[in-house]
Amino acid sequence: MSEPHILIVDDDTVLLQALPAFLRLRMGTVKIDTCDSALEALSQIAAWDYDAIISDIKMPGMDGLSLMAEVRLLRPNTPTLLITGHGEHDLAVRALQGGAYAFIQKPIDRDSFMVSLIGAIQKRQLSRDTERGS
Amino acid sequence: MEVANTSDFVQTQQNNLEALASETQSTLHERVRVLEERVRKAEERRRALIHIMGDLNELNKRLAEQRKAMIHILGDYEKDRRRMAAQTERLDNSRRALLHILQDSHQSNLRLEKTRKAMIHIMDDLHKTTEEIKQREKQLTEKQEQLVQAAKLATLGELTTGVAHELNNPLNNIGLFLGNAIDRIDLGVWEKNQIVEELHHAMQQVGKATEIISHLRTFGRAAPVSRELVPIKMVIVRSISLIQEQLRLRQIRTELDLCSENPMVIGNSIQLEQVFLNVLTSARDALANATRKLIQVRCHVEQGKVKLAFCDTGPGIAEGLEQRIFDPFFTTKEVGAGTGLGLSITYGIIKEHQGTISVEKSRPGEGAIFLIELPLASP
Ligand SMILES: Nc1ncnc2c1ncn2[C@@H]1O[C@H](COP(=O)(O)OP(=O)(O)OP(=O)(O)O)[C@@H](O)[C@H]1O
Ligand SMILES: [Mg+2]
Repeated sequence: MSEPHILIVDDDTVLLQALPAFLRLRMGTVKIDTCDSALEALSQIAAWDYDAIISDIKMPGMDGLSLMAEVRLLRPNTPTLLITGHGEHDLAVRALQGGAYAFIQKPIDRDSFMVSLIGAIQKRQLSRDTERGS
Repeated sequence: MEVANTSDFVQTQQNNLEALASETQSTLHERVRVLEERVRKAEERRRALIHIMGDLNELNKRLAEQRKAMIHILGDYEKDRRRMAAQTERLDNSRRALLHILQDSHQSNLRLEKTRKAMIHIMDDLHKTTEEIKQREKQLTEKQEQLVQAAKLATLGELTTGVAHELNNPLNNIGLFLGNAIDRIDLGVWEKNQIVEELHHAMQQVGKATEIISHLRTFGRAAPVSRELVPIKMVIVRSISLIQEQLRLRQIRTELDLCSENPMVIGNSIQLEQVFLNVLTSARDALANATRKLIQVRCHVEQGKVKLAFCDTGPGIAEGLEQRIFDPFFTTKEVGAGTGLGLSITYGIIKEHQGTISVEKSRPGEGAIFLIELPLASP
């Protein structure tokens, strides 16, 4: 697995500090960008081909679900992981229906989150390999 | 008869005269003169008698006239008597009428007495009713207090959804910071100050969660409504902070323009916080489909009053509804979406604080402006 490039989108800046630290600890080599709004994220996504995008759903302005819809158009092969509040089942369902690779519940269970994220990155890198191969 | 006697007497005298024929002529003469004298006197007597007869006749006539007059008088008297009788009868009638009236008045008196008794009864009833009304009023106040508590809990329930999200964030961050510390130790790549830093971050997030929860706790508490000196600006700021996350997620900006002094009012800070939360949530709901989303809160002191204004950029209040929106259960929201209690409870609380709340007539294209005035606590 080459050094993954990941985008994290959340309006809570404390999370934008804690989550990258966690990923670096677990993954060692990883390149992480952060945005505190979906609009800012869109310009990042246009510029970079991320291996995975992690986004909160509830954000002011454009929310995580709309952001994912844009991603599906712009980067159909980039997996998106959406973060929902604990017990917000309807949002989780909508996330999956909208094409999310996985949904993550806050407070985050770190181990299962890592499993999902690694899965997403591998999927993305696999698809990139097949793109190149063909 | 007297006449017959006189002729008998003349006869006798003649016999005597014949017997005395022998007597002298002069004696005879004398006798004739005496006799003639007698005749004359008898004649006088006869005339006197005739006179007397005439007088008697006259007397008789006068008597007859007097009798007639008497009859007349008697007739008059009879008339008088009849008149008297009629009067007596009239008097009698009057007397009877009077008796009747007296009886009536007696009856009236009795009736009056009955009425008076009835009045006393009614007064008694009234007294009882008044007491009942007082009792009812007390019950109503109790119900109102329950309603206020229920509405508070409804507000709380609504807030909870937002707050759950707000709590999720610090909890999640705490998990991440602690997890990072554990990871560092597990991986053996730790330095003491790194671990302390992670824990420190976690502590800060615990503080944030505590703040949210303690605030909700004070708001939801069914505390007896106490009165104290309330710094109104602080209550406004607290209300806004409680709803801030919801506003932020809906991209509603808030602008505060609070006076430099620190006005104090007498009242209950939790109730006042509920007032501001109600007005703010109403504004939040009104801004759902607005293009410009701004809530302005202004506060200034004027003529012994704190004057607050809550302005939004929503559709405003439809004309004619300026009063009705304060009615209990008045809502324009869909069935099941709103209770219509928010503003009526707000109104009640402000009234309890000797204040006023009104909504300014919305100008077309402008949102709603709620004005709240509260008397300043005398220093
Ligand atoms: N800022 C506002 N702009 C426009 N309309 C408003 C505003 N505030 C209140 N209203 C109107 O007043 C009505 C009554 O408000 P109120 O707060 O009493 O009840 P509600 O908001 O409908 O119900 P609930 O408070 O239970 O959610 C609302 O339905 C709405 O039509
Ligand atoms: Mg309301």
